[in-house]
Amino acid sequence: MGVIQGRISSKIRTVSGFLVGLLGLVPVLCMSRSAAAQAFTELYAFNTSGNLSDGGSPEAGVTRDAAGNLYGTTFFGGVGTGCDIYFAGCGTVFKIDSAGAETVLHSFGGAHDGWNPTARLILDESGNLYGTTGYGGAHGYGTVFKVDKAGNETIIHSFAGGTEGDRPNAGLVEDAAGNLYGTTQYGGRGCDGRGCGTVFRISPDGRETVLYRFADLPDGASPMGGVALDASGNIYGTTWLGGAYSFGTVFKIDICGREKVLHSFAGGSDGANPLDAPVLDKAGNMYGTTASGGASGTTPLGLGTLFKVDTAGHESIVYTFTGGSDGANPYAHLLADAAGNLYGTATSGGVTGNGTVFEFSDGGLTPLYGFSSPNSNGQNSDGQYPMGGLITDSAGNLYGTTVQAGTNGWGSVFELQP
Amino acid sequence: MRARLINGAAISLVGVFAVCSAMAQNTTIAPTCHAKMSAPIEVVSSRQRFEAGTKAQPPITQDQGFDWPDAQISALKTDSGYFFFSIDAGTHFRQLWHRQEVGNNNSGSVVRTAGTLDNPLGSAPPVDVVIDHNPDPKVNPHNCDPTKYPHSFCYTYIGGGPVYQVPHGQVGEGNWLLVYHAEYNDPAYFLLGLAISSDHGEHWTDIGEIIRFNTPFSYHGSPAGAAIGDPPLVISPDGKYFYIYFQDWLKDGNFFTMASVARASIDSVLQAAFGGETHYAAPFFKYYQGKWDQSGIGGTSTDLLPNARYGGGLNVAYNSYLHRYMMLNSDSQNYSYAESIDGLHWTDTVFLGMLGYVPNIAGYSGPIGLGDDPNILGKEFYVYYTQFRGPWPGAQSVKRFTLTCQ
Repeated sequence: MGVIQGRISSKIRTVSGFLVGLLGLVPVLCMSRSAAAQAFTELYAFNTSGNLSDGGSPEAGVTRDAAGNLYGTTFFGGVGTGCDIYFAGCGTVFKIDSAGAETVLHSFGGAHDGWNPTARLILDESGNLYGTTGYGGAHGYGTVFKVDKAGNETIIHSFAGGTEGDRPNAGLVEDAAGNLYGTTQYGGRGCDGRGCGTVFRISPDGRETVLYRFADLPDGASPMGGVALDASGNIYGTTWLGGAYSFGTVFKIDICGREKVLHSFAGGSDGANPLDAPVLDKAGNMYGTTASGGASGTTPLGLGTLFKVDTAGHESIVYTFTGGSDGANPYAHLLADAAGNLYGTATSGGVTGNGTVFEFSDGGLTPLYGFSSPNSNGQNSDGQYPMGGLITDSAGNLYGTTVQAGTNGWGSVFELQP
Repeated sequence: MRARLINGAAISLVGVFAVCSAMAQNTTIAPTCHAKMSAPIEVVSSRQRFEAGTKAQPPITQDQGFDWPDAQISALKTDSGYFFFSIDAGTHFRQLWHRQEVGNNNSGSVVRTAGTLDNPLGSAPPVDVVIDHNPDPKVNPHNCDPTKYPHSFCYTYIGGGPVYQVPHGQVGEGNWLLVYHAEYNDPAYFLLGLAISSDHGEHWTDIGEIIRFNTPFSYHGSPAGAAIGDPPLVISPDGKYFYIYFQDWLKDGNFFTMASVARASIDSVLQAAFGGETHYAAPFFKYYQGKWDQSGIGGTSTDLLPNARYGGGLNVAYNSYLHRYMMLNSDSQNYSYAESIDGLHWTDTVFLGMLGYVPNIAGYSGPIGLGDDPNILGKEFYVYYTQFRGPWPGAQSVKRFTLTCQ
């Protein structure tokens, strides 16, 4: 992904953002390393402005262009005032250049604009950014937006709620035809009238098609993450809730719109409550995280898992988080390299309990970095609680965000060098 | 209460089992609910909460706005809908309002809103009042103005939510009885007390403490590492007692129970609260090794859930569909429940799902029944909770999910 998620190559852009990175980049990320070998850099600390006008609390990871600029969203901050989540701005789309200077490309304004984004951005070859807001828009049920290089924002689609979907929280992926795919947490059908969520497609001219409406037990409910596409156009994703045991699912939607629950998480020693999309390897296996589950005698609470679903639809837990130096409660999607090594973040756990960056390879997990504890002012030198996933560059450096702490207390963008 | 909540979340991450002892009580019953949890929906947005705060009566005096709900939401049914109760954690500075001195220079309050199950905030101005000192200073000397007394003598927080309406034919009929949560903030320490209202929550009067941890408060001691919550009064199986469930901080071994219980006879509580010229809290007694002989103020207690996987933020209510008590637990991340026939012996905790995601934790869960008495649960009932977002106070909202016993 490294460089660009989405429209970078006609050859590979039919696959998920993850696979773009997997195919196009980073042969160097192959070996396990000790945590001590990593060089951590806080590239940017939000609230440098002192009034959050530069953004705050990035919940998603970042996107990187060929020039090394990083792009992302912040949940809080900016100069907007019309949002429903009433605190310190309505969120931003930001850019951090290779020198570490930040620019707010767009401050969400509330009202008919969206607000409080939680999604990772994708980038096209023209430098346009695409993302979602779970709130706002013409109908108040969220938006799909585009921000061009100059920071001009266009609402591509405003969700209408009801059967058309409501609350798109996650990022988008794009196919070769320029269609965008994503999920909504609510809307569709079922779930006491609020809707159990949808999978949608936005055509290049902004028309929305609901590809699937979740129906709750034994179907999934409340997809919180985005989706992954394979070369055939099949869609893969997870639901936070629903399934046979109410602990979420891994699903597939084929090109005819038929949905199949590939796995219902069972809790206990199995995973529970996945929050982001799986990633596909070259063989078609899926890897993902569950925020909870994986309970055992040593981790009775269930602090999250890494799971694999093979091409036959069989699920297995490949790693169970312990809450120690490995971390706990991974929320985000994984990053994989060409060798099949996986990289990710655990939002909590680690030596100080403030989250980790990890590598999973050869059946074992190596903590690469553990975030430090903030001081009494909520500040530290690196950040706290990485909620978003990672990307990488051609040198194998990893880039991510933390939602809290950092030098100014409102989260950070970081680089971890091999 | 937020600091306590975060502590609870942190504990869940690093292994709450480290604090569980071998004070085991064999679990011999199995859950019967087989609960299905719906996807949560938002019933009060952050902006609705903020705007309601601008209308609160008496007016909010703290710059940070309406720090509600800082405890679980509880309810009483009215002719036209519901009264809902919870806490505004903000400081309620002394002020002159309608020619009366109101406020106590302390954090916390009792907030009453009038609404529906789909909109518990309603449209009327929230009534946001403090728990007044008892006219008899001996009843609770620690409910005092923290700006006027030495460090750690007065509570630094007092507020409450769960309300019991005294039924017809009992002493104090028609009056309200409230369980409040109080705390010291340095070092953090929590306790429970009772307050009464004779005017439907327009005013509340402190009638004193009922529960303190087994570990006493010490100015030089360690902060409490788990919550005591703000639990409701629960009527015992024989109808004679109020039970109250909480996490206890035990002296021996320095650990917390997952669930302890104390009781007092309903007659004694109502007589003490409403029967005389002085209003005070009747003593509660903690359950310990088969006996109810430990003082509610500092006694020790038996862990009713010694082997529980999940705990924290416990709320117990009777379920008339199951003919059992149900205990909803939330450590602000993981949600679970347990069942009991007698209120003492509980099933293993059943995991419902992870609803809170640090730092966006989901705290203060409270069940509300859909029948005439919201404190009685049925086959289907609602669970409300506070969705944290960003620094507190700030962007918190209220969400709800439906729990259905299959």
